[in-house]
Amino acid sequence: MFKRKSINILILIFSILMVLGGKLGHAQLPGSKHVLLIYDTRVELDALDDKVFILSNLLGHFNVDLEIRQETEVLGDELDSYDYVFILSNEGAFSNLELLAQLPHLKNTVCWLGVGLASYNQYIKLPMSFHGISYDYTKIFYNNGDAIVNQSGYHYGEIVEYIALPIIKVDNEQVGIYCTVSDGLKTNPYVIRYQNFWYISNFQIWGDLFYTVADVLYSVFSEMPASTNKVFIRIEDVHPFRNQRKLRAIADFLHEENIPFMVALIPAFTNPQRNYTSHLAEVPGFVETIHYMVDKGASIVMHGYTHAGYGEVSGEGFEFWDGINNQPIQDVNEFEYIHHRIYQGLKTCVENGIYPLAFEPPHYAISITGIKQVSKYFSTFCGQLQSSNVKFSTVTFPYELKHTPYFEYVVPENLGYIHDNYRIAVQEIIDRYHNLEKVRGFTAGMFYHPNIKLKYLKELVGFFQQQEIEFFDLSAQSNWVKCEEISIYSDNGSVTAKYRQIEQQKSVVEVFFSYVNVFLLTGLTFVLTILIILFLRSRQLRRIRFSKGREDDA
Amino acid sequence: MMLSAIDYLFLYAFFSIWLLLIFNIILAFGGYVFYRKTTQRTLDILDLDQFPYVSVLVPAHNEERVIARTVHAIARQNYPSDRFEIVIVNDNSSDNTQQVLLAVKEQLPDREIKIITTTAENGGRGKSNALNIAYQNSRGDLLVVYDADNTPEQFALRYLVYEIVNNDIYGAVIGKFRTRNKYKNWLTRFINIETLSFQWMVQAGRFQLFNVCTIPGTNFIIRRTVIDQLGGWDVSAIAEDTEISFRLFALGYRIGMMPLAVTWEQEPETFQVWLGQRTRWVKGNIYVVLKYIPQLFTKQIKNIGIDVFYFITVYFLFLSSIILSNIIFLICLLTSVQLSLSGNFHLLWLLAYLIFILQIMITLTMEKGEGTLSNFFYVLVMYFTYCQLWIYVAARGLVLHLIDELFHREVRWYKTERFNEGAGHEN
Repeated sequence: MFKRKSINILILIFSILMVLGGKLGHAQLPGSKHVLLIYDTRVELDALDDKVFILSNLLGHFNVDLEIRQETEVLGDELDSYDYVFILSNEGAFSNLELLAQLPHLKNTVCWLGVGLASYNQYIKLPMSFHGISYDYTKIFYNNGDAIVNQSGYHYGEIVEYIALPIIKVDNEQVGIYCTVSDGLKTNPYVIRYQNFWYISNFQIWGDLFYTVADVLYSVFSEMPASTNKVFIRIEDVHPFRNQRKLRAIADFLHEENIPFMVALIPAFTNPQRNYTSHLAEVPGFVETIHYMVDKGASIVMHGYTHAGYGEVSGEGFEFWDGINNQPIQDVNEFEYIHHRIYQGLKTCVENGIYPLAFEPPHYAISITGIKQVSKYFSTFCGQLQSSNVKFSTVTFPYELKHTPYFEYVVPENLGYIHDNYRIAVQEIIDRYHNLEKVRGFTAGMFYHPNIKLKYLKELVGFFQQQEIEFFDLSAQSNWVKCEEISIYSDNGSVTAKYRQIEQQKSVVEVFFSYVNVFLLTGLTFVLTILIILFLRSRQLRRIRFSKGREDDA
Repeated sequence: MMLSAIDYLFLYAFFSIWLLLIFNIILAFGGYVFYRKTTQRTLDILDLDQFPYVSVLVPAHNEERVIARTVHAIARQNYPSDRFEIVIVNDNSSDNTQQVLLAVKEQLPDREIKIITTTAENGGRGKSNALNIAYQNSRGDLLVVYDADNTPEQFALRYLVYEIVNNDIYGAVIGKFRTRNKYKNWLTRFINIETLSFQWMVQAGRFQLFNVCTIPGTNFIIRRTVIDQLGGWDVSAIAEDTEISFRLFALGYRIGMMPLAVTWEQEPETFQVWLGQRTRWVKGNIYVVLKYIPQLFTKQIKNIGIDVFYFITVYFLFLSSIILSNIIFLICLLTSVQLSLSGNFHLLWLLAYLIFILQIMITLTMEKGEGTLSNFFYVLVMYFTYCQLWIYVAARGLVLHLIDELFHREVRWYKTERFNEGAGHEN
């Protein structure tokens, strides 16, 4: 009797734990901030970039658990259940006034980014007044995330475009000013804080204003930036027909300098003239070269399957975007197309003992829909994100992102690459690096094509080594890759891969056929050579045999 | 990756096409070796010590345009005039063949010329029948057959006799034919190139490698005893030459090849005539294949084996594969169905094309006046034009044969129409 009772109690306790555990499983990660992002429109009038997508990624740098809703879908009394409420106003077109009227009563942190507050301040009741707009501001003043008091703001950056910023007058007693802009004569607040309400009067997606917002978010979220900054070097567009000696030389150099690096690998090379795709194993020594690079500290980033797909040469063409017409890929089922190519690319790598840890789309071009799909296969994205579903346009970030709604980990490339004008390119990278330093806890990234002279890479490495910066090692991070039967994990520098080799490898017929192909090609070339010799010989003989008679040519 | 149905169809087409192409490459090498051997042989045809009596058989059906020259050419043969006769079967002609023949006979009083005229009752039933009549009315121990449009070169007969007399194993010996009207138009140019390369690759190549060649229908010598044993020509076969070759092998004889015995013949000058002739050949070959396939498994006739195999490969495997590969090409071009097999198909095609050109150019350089630049350009074009017509002809022949079989149609002899020749086109 007693036993049964105790068992019942145990079961009860156990089921309660199960229920709680289930609930906890769905709840936010410990310490993460529950954030609601409300927006009016996804894009600005006459613009193409999806700013909701960009902001939601940017917020991913912080320990957030993000929900995104359009303003009309949100009820005013819901807002209390979030730690943070972000309002992204692209056009200042809100119809849910009830929601706005709720804002001054909230206890949690509210952050308004963007235009249109002038029309709605009657509901929100911030102690400030609006006096039109100005396009003339050129300089940004900032105080490392602290309020500017007694002209403590320092010259932070430039505004190089004509950007409409509202002219604001605030009550300095009540309101903290965190960033100001200036036209040389007059100074005007750009980021202000009134109690729990943050106001950023315009949300730009690149340049120093973007960096300001990226930096001030540390204050909004009360988080501390990482103590070390990082930089990565990615060897770009490594495909089977790259000079293998050069690739090894690059790996040797970086290894000697003790620098981990990434290799953006294109596993197959398509030549449209020949309509033939060479996989990495078909080029003698290439697989060994990649293994050699991995041994010397490379982490593999899968750079598409062929880096082509629209009748272009590998390494030059687009693959997940119609680069010729600048539109999403047409005439195919995008989902199946992407799935097929990711799978083929991974399979080609894994079959040869090469384990990609992250993805980088060719030219960074892939629709937002495609990005969402790829984030199901790869935890980690390396590069810039395309910010539009309709036109090719990318955005980059000053730091790594770990809590975005899509990828679990985005390592941003934000310094560019060494282009044909080498001298200028090296200086550009250095300049961009210095600009990026404004953002606390930044992660920098650049890429380098292996056909470019090694001395430019050496120059840049020399520069980075003089900075207080750590070289980024992708394999030291937690990454995963999953697609069909392929799975790859990395953590603390160790990479493990699972690949069930069912018959999806190459069927016997395919293997046999590829042998036949090679056999035919070599055999026929041989035959052709013999035929040419015979032909020349028989012409010679003919001359001797028929020389007596006149040739009766027509 | 699972292969789809289209991949398997492609594999079938790929392998059967390449099987035949490789076989032809091997034959071409054989032909070259044979050519080299022939040029190195010493032939003492002028010192023949015996002149067996020869009957030259010429079946003629409505041949008024060409027959006179044919008879003259045969009469001019460098062979003792009392040791050969010319037996012409004027087979149910409705034109002036009879008058022409009588006139020619008058011009050649010192030659033995027999003219046998048949009517609708006893003749007009095809070439085999006409040859049977000629054979019954001849007395030579050796029989030579010329089509009514042929002009053999002066020593053709001597070469043929020399070869058969010195080789007891040969039941027959074939010569070589060349195109008399090759400069007439594009078609005859192509036919000229085709017949030359056919003879050097298929005939000489087979002879060299497998000791097999087939009687081409004209310019060959055959022992009377062989025809006796065969009981004459098979009147139901529309390609009597292939048929008789097969039966000859069955008796244990071989067929020799003597490329120095040359005859010049007239080839079709219009597409319609060409199409009719070729369709007849295809039907004839298919008839033979179907007839001899059962024997492949019952009798030990290896010589037939290689030929039946060759015909099967050509008319069934190769034809179906060529058509199939074109369909696959269109499917891949027009629909979303794609091959998952990959290979250097363009490069392979290019190599095949280059080999095709070289093979033919080599056979052409073996002939006086053929290895020319202009012929080279014809060969380049030939692949894309003339050769592609073969698909149509072969398919047509196959279908017509099936229809004949289905409705038990009587076999008819489609006579190849002859053309008047201007003086400028003569060789």
